[in-house]
Formats: sequence, structure tokens, C-alpha cells
Amino acid sequence: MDIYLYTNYSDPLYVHKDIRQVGAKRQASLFEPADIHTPVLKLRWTEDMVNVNYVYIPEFHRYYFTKAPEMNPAHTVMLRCFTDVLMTSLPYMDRDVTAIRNEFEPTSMIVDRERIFTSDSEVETFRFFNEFDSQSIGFLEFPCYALSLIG
Amino acid sequence: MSMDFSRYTVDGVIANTSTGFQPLNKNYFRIASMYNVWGEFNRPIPTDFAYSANQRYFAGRYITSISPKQLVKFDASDSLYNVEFTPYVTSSPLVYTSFGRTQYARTSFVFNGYDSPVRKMAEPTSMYDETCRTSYINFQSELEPRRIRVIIPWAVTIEKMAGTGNTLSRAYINQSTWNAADAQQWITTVSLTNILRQVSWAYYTKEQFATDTARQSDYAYSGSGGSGTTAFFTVFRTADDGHFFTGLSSAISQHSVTNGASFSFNKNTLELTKSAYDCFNTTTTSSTGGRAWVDATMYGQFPRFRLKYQDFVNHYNLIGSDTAYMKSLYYINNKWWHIVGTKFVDENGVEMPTDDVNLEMGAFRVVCTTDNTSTFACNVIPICHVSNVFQVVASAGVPFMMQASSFSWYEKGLFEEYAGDSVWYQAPVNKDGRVIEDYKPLSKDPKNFQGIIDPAIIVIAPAGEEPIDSTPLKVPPAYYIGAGTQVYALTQGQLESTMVNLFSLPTSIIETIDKFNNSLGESIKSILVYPFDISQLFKTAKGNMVFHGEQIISNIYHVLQSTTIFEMGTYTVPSTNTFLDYSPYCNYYLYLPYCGVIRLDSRDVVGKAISVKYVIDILTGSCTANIFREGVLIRSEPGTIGVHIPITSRDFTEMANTLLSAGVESANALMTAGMNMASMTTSSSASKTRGNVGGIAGSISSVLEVANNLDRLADSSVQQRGNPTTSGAFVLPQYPFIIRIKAKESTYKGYAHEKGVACLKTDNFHNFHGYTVFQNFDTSGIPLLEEELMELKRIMESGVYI
Repeated sequence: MDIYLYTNYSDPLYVHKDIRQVGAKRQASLFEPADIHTPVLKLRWTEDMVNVNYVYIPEFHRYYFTKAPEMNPAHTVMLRCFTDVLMTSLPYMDRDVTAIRNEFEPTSMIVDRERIFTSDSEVETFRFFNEFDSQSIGFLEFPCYALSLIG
Repeated sequence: MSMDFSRYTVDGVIANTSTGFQPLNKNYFRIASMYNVWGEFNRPIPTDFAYSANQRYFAGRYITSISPKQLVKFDASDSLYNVEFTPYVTSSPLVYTSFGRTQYARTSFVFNGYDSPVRKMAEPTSMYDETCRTSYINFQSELEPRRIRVIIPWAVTIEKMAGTGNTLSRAYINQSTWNAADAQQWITTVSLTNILRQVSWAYYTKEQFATDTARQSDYAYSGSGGSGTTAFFTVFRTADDGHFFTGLSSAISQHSVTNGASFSFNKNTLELTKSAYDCFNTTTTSSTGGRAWVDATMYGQFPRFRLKYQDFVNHYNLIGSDTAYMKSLYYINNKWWHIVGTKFVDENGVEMPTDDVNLEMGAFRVVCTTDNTSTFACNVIPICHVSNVFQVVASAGVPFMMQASSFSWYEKGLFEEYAGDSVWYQAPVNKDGRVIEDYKPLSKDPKNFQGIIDPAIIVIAPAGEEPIDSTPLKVPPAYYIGAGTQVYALTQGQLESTMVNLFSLPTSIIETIDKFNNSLGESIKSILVYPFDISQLFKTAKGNMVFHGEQIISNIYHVLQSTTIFEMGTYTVPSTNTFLDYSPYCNYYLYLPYCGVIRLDSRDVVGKAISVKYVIDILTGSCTANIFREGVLIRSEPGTIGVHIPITSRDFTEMANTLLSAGVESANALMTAGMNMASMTTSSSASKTRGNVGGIAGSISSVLEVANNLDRLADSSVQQRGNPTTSGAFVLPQYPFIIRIKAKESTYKGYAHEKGVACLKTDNFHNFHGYTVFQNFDTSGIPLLEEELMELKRIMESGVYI
């Protein structure tokens, strides 16, 4: 079957992988009976396969992560693959979904209990405009004393 | 008492004489309402703006010193030339003083200020007192976070220009330079002794039309008798609602009275109109003096306008003699009133109700006589205390004078200011003050204005944040103290005199008192000291204190109500619009002077207009701080604002014990005072002769001295009365403030990338970017194996990068 070999530079959690194809389309065969989720491929070794860690099998419509190639004396290698469900499902992602966390689009009033706070705090004050004026006490022109007199 | 000066404009004016402005050490320059001022006034200084004796020009000096962020002392002992006025304002405010051509001059201060500071005006100890020269303006170096609106830069007031030989109780001109020619100069008196105390003051400028034929023609004035005529008019405004009213005094001279003109100013259109008419009701001769009246018309309503009392209106003139005759008429609620004593009465002598009665003042008229003792007499008529409006309305006089176009300079200065998040508007006006175009929102942030703003711009900031009274507080109008108890508002000196006189009453009276109250001391129910001018917050009437038929002291304030309301203002705590504004990430507290600190629910605070209104009981010294959220009363906090001044031996014993135990250093002084007072009160029978007056006076003085150092007394007596912080609170902030204690977030920068932030947003998958965690990711329609779908679901719900 036809396969494409890649070097993946992305974290496995990236939906859109940064992959670069290694060589041209290759021919591979299934090494042993396996499901399409975790196939084991057998193909001819070439030196450019040193950094291969990602495979696309058109026949299975899937992208795969691969483990390290297993070499044998006959210059063949085995690639143990398992589906990258993110990249594989990408063509079907044109749908509405609900995100509860996102890197760039916070909904500010939703309480985020993941936020990390220090034991320190900040203090701000907001003053009202008007005020009493204790500094006026004792000045000649300010009647600040209330005398209550009976009689 | 400080009020929200951002709601007030201006006052101020400046005077000069033909020989120049000669500020002396006694001069008192007062800057009032410099508060929250920015922009807008400009008058290019003519190139010929130099002193010329013949032309009576006078050149002023620039006052351009600016030192942002400095605490400023504006010392009135400085001459005007040396004044360095360094308000804390934003960059490049230009303050300049320009003494206008001939008789006309003003000082204008131009500020660019957006986040202007809170500036507190230091009140003069007395406008008549020499000590006022040491008054200064103290600009506090703290930021007023609210936007500041406006300006009227008429900010300098000269209240006193006493020169050698000047006998004026309120001098305006250096009399040593006063002469006949000067009489033709203009004179400006001023406004606003205490910005809280008057609705309006008038001040006047006198133009010399004799040398200015163009102006004579323009104003349809004619000089006569060689003295020229006088024209001035004043635009008043109420800062609270922005209404204006105008006034005009027509010509006044000893020999004749000529026709004058009326001016009106429409605050909506800023249109100035005039119409000639004979504004004098009589023509007098040189032997009798003239009579003139100032006619003013107010525009608009005065909501919640309440009259408090009317002071006697004095009449001054430049010669220094007060004339005996002065009469003011007020057109209020479609009726003319005049003043008798402290009351408005109609022509039938019926008093005008002054309690919580909405009054609309339509006009006022001041009739006065001129002095006839001098060849040249100019009336200076301070229309002070025309009506004392209870807390709500205030105004300031704004000079507004038409200038002959030939001088190519003009002034405008009629604006509104409000605190709060207002929208700035501007409208171009022509030199006559007419608005050329409608007001338009000002997109340019005023704080970016530099230097003098284009004089063709008037900036108006309409009403901003206003408290909403959905649960208004109402003081019972009939709640009278009564029940045999009289309450008086006294100054320290008056209190001293009162106590001396009380304890110097004739023996017969003392014996009578003893029959009812056991002792004179017990007749004195209480003496409390308040951190405000009682006459400003409480309804009062001036009168004499009479005790058992004996007049104890005269001309004092008689408190007529037991309870009053003092509004501290409204504040809306800014919100970051995140959950972080709320508890438990933010806690809010409200400091209430004399009530303490209370915790507020963050949901009541964030983004909400919080208002604080104090209800104060004059008799007990208690207060209640009422907190409103969006006008709805949500909490009341009791406190004590009046501090008892001990007057009995028991009081002093308690206080002394408290002080001694607290180790307060002033204990000895207090004990001394207490012993003196104890001696005075316990031996009252022996003190019933006037021979003991001196000793008693000393005792009283000691007591008062102690009372005025209450901050040193710590909690002393108030602790004994269950008010543990009152006296100490005199030194604490006198305004409420909200305290926000905010949890400090980690500076961990990778947080959003690695964990995302709370989102809860539904959208197309491809519209999300970055680290995203999905909720209940639906894998329907994706042609993968079940185990793959489960894995996909798990990964999507634990976080992926898109």
C-alpha cells in the first residue's frame, strides 16, 4: 500500500500538525495482522527515515504517530503506528463546539478556578468627593461647637 | 467644610488702578474653585499691553510656574508679581495673568487637567482679618480619579487690598493711589468668601467710557459730570445645574444717573443680548447721591432650591463709607420679596416659607444709594448671601464682558463642569459668545490639550454621575429641637464668651436656675464639637442667646433642626469586567468617617454607584452613614461624629482616668483644666459674682484648648461614652473611601497557553485558536473507530492546541 512518511514537529495535542514529508510516496506492507488503528508497517529502510515519526496511509484515511523504526538485517524496518485522531478527524471538524477554556478568548465573568494567585494582595482606595473638615475646628469663622442649653 | 468643588466654577477677578496694581503684603489673593479646572480661556495679550499712565494701561506679568506633582503653597503674602502658582495638573498648563486694557483685567488660569488632583482650598480665617494674608491654597497631591470638567478660569480673587490709610472694611483698591481719575477706573470686587455660603456674589467692573467713545456707543451709555459712567454686568451661574443668570448695574455717579442697559444671557444658546432702558428709578443730584439698582435675571429652575436665611446686605463704596440705605428685592416664586432681618417678607410683611420649599428665583434687584461725600463715588455692591441655599445650589459669579471689537480680544468663559464619566462637548462660539454650531461630543481627550486652548472652543461636560434617589432620606421638616432645649452653633471664641457670661450671671438668676436644675452646669446639656461648620449643615437662624432673660451673646447661630443630611457623594468603583472583581478574589470595604470600616458585598460595589449620606443628630453627636447602591439604601452604619466637651466634674474625672491609664501626655493639662472646671462647677454659688470671671474664663479656655487637641486625647472621653474612636477620628480621613483588596495573581506567563482561561463559548471549531478545552465534545459524524472516537473525545475535553 502507499504511505507517506513525515517528520512531525508538533506536540501531539496540536490538531494541526506541523509535518514535513520525508521523501516521496513509499510502498509498505502490513507486517502482521493488525487493525487500522494500530497497524505495523513493513517497508524498505532508507537513510532519510531517521527522523520519521509520522505517517499517512491514504488507504486507511488516517494519520498515524509512529514509534521508533525497528530495523532488521534485511534493510527493512517496521513502523508501529497508532492513529492521530486529531489530525485524522480534522476534515470533519466544521461544526459548532463549546469551549470551556481557551487561550485567547476569555469570557471574563466566568469564574476561572484554575487561576493561580499568590499569597500577596493589592490594595486600592476610591474616595468619595465630599468630606467633613475637622481642620476647621477652632477657627474663628467656623461655628463647630454645638451648645445645648436648657432654659 | 469641603464640598464637591468640581461642581463649582470660579470666581475671581482682579482689580487694578491707573497706577498699577500694587499688591501689598496685606493683599489677599484667593484662589477658589481652582479645583478641577482645565481649559479654556484665552485672551491674547496685546502688543501695547504695557503700562502707560496716560492710557491707563497696565501690563500684567505672566505667572507661568508649573511644577506638576508638587504640593503647592500659594502664599498670599506674595505679591502678584511673584506668585508662583504651581498646581498639580497635567503638563503644560499655562497660568497667566494679564491685566487687561484700561480698567479691565482679569487673571485667568488655564489648566489642562484630566486626572486633576484633589485640591483643597484653604479657607481664609476671615476675609476681613489680617490673618487672611497668610491663607494659602493647599493642593493635595492626591489624584482625583474622576474626570474633571471644565472650567472657568476666573480664579483669582482679590479680597483685600488694604493700603495705607485705607479704612475700607473691604478694600478693593489701594487707597493711597486712589484719586478722581481712578474713580473712573474700573473696580472689581469679588465673590465667594466661602464658596459654600452663597448663592451669588456679584462683582463689578467699572468701565471708563469717557475715554472710549466706541464703547459708549456700543453700550448706549453716556458719561456726565466728568465722572464717566459705570457699566458692568455679571453672569452668575449655578454650578449644580448649570443655569445662569445675569446682572447689570447701570451707571452710577454722584452727579447723575444715566440710562443703562440690560443684559441677558441665555445659557442654552450662550447668547448675550442687551436692551437699553432706563434702569434707574430716580435721578439725583450731587447733594443726595444717586440711586441705582442692579437687576438680575435668572434663567432656569433651581431644583431643590431652598432658602436658608438672608444676611444683611451691606453697601460699600470706594470712599469707605457704608451707606445706610440698601435694599434688595427678590423675585421669587412670582413675587417680589425683600429682607427684614433674616427673613424674606413680602410687601405685607408675610414671611416666605424657607423650609423645604421649592423656590424659583426669577430675579433680584438691589437698590442702593451712592455715597455723596465725595466727588467721585463708585458703588461697590456686594450682593452677598443673597440667598443661602441649603447644600444644593451654589453659584459663582462669572465675569462676562463684551469688548469692543476694535481691541480684537475678547473673553468667554461660561461652561459647565461635572464630575463623573461625562462626555465632553464643544461648540465653537464667536467673539460675542454666541454658539455658532451645536455642541458636539469631543472625541479628543481633553487631557491631551496643550497650552491654551483655542478660545473659540467652549467645552461643556454635561451631567455626569448623579446619585439616584430611589430611597431618599428625608429630614422631618417639623422636627424641632424644642422641649426647652436650645442649641446654638458657636465658634470657639463665641463659646468661650458664652461660658464666661453664663457663669457670670447675676446671683438672682443663678438661684432661680438652681430651683430647676440644681446647678448652672446642669443647665448646659452638652457641648459638642463637630468637624464641620454647623451653620452650613443645619438649618440655622442668626440671633441672640438669651438665658433666663439675660442676653448671653449676640449674633450667633441658633440651630433650628435636630437632624440633617450630609451627602458625601457618589462613587462607582471601576470594574475590570472580570470575575476577579468579585469575591473571593476581591474584597471591598468602606471606610466611613466616624463610623468605622464595614465590609461590602462585592456584588453591591463593582460597577455600581455607591452613595453615602450621613444623617447627623446635633443633640447627641450621633450619626448614621447610609449607604446606597444605585440609589437604593442597602445599609446603615451608626457612629458618633460629635465629640463631647466635658463640662462637669464627673466628665473630667472620667476623662482624666482614661488619659492617665492610657499614658497620654496631655493628661496633666487636661487634669488642670478639669480641676479648674470642677472648681468652677462645684463652687458655682461662690462663682456667681463677676469677680470670678477671669478665673472662669481661664478655665473655659483651658477646656477649649484641650478640646481642640482632641487628636492628642486619643480616645479618652469618648471611650467612656461608648464612642471609642470619635475624637481620634478627627485626624483620620474625613471622607469615605472604598478599599479594594485584590488577590494578587501569579505572574506566571504561560498560564493561558498551557491552561487556557475560562471561556464557555460556542462557535465553529475552526474559529478557536490556541489552547482549547471543549465541553462534552460531540464526535458524531466523524468516521473513526469507536476507540478512536473515545480517544478523540477524551483529548478534546482535556485540552488541545488549535
